[in-house]
Amino acid sequence: MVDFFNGIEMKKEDMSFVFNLHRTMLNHKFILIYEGEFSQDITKILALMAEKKMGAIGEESNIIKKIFGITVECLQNISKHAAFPKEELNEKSSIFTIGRDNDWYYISTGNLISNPEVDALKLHLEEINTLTQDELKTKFKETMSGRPIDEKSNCGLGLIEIARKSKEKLLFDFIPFNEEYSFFLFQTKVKSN
Amino acid sequence: MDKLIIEATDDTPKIILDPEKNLYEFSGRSMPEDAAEFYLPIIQWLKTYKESGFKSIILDFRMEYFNTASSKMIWDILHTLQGFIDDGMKVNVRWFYYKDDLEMEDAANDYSEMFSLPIEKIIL
Repeated sequence: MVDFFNGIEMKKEDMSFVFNLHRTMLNHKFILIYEGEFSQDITKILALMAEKKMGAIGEESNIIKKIFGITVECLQNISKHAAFPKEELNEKSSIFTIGRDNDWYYISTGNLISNPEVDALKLHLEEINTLTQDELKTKFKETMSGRPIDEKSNCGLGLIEIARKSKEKLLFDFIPFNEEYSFFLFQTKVKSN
Repeated sequence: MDKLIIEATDDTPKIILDPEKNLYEFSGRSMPEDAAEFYLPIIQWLKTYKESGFKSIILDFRMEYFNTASSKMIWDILHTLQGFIDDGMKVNVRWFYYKDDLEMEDAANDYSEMFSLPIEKIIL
């Protein structure tokens, strides 16, 4: 009997949680929230969902294309760097959100990266934030024509492209997670017309 | 010379490389995670095309979107074609995009600034 009532209680909690989450999403004007494993299939689905939802609210095509492009670069950066064994996925999962506040769209990600990678990524982001749009263009072209082709170094191109599309400074933070990993928080914004 | 036709998927563009029809065209969206895997056979095909004695090519880009991994490979393709010109081949690139598509226009400008090979912008 006790188990039975616990079961009911649990269900009630679950349902109010869904309701509260739904209210929170509406209040914060979240367009998309995804938590879990990231892969190329998930990237395709989320990018298409973002495109569809923004189209549905009547956003202009160039803004939709920007958000679509930023979404793809963000998610592919995560799926390249956040590959964990299946049994560890639960505690090491990543998050991706798109929200809207007044005239701005906010694209945010959170994922674990290994500690030895933190310094290089931080330097790269700091450098991007010092560059003007013209300098970003030059940097993009230099990186694109660089050799040899290395899949991992390509993420450099991704972040430069995000900064070019956003035209705003990139926000980021690293929260210590354990001896091996830090949680990397990243946010970029795009102005709606 | 065998033609190379690749149908579009959710994350890769349609590729037509067809000497019989004299049609060379990339169209659609390109956002594979591993762009090299998709584009290296295309670059290899172009090299074989040149080695087979063809003296000219008009390559049409009708792209709607590509990720940075693909932009790197498109750079490689244009770099390869630039090499063909230097070896005396006649190469033209036509870059089709819709009038209001600033991203594809910017991309065409980026590439034009990086190569001397002619990249003709054609607004749809």
